[in-house]
Amino acid sequence: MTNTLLKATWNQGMNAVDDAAFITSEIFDKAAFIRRNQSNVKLAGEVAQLFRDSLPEYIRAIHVAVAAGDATALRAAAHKLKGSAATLSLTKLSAISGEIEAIAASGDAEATARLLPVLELQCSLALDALTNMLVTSEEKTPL
Amino acid sequence: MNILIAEDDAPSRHLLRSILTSWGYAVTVAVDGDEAWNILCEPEHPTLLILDWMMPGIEGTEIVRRLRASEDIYPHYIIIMTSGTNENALALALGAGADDFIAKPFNNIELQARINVGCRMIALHEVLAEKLHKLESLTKTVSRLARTDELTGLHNRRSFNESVTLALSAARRHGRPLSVISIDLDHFKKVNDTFGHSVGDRVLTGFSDLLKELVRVEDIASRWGGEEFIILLPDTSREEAATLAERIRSACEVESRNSAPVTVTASFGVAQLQNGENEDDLIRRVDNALYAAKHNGRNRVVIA
Repeated sequence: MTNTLLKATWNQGMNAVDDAAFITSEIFDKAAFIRRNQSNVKLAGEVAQLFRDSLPEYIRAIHVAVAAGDATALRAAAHKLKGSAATLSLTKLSAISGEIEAIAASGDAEATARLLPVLELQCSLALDALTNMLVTSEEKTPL
Repeated sequence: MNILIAEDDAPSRHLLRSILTSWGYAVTVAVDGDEAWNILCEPEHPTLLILDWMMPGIEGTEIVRRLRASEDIYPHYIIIMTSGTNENALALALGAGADDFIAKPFNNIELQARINVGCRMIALHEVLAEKLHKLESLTKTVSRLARTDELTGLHNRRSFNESVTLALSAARRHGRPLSVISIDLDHFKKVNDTFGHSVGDRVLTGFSDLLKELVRVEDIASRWGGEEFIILLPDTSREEAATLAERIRSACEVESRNSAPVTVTASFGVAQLQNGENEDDLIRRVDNALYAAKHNGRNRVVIA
């Protein structure tokens, strides 16, 4: 059942990669993000780029903590991604990171493992959303 | 206003720094708790702090605890920032000693309002610190005046009494000698009656200046009242005290000869603290020696 759910979610994500219009405000609330950057598109682009640069390390830290069974490290890594994603208005990514953080505190490794593919998917969607925003911004205003 | 941001997440850090800079603040940045603490250990550092709660190294709340533990008054205004879902986060942050709390992602208008409160509080602290500094300075002045004879600038009787108690205790504890010299200007009343009180005052200040010149830093030269003076001499035997008394007497006599027609000499009693004596006993004995000096013709030193 879990696999079916994940597959459906994954397919949904793949479709989103092909269709930028799929990126809803639940995935990336662009308007809120731009507002947070005081409508400064250049700044928003810089922040988005920093997030794209940081994300692989954030994900790696989560995987390392899971592999080591280190609940404290997992909680810290998930917390960091949750906060960073929230700053970018990546609502779903922030939420799933928050779930992992909460589960890490409870020590349920199985539940954490179930959430990792969903996390990966949301990361992928987030990157697409940010790439789309950056490309759009570049077309309109040189960053 | 310089604001310290301690935030380990690069995008959040860049956003926060850019926003604060655009609002006109100088911004110091730390990428983790250890770097933030190192910055705060510098003598000159920002006083308004925005600290992430969970960071590598020292956590934000631990930085708050350390700062509060090392402060007499609270010169820092600290805002703890977190994306935590703990419903008690606000209470925990304030309980650790933070002044304020803001949830991530923050609302810019709310952040600006909270920083404004911080700036206002820091300004109030600065005014308070300045007033405290002035108050301390005034207290020192008042304390000094309360222990100083207004006319001569010597210690007054209150100061002598405080000092003699401490000196007696130290002398007994360390087994060291302690002596006093009691002085009375001879025929001083005649000076006042003949030349007036302003001349009498000049004689008193002139004699006091002589004492200041001849005693050591650790000695307590005091005006006992009227034309009477008393000197407390720690670590001094009665022979050494008598030598000093004779030096003062002789200098006063020479000075007096040069100041004719206003001629003033002085009589001296000298005593060393004896076993079992308290300060009253010591003062009584030195006064008796002074009276003996007066009785035996004045302008002399008598050792008790």
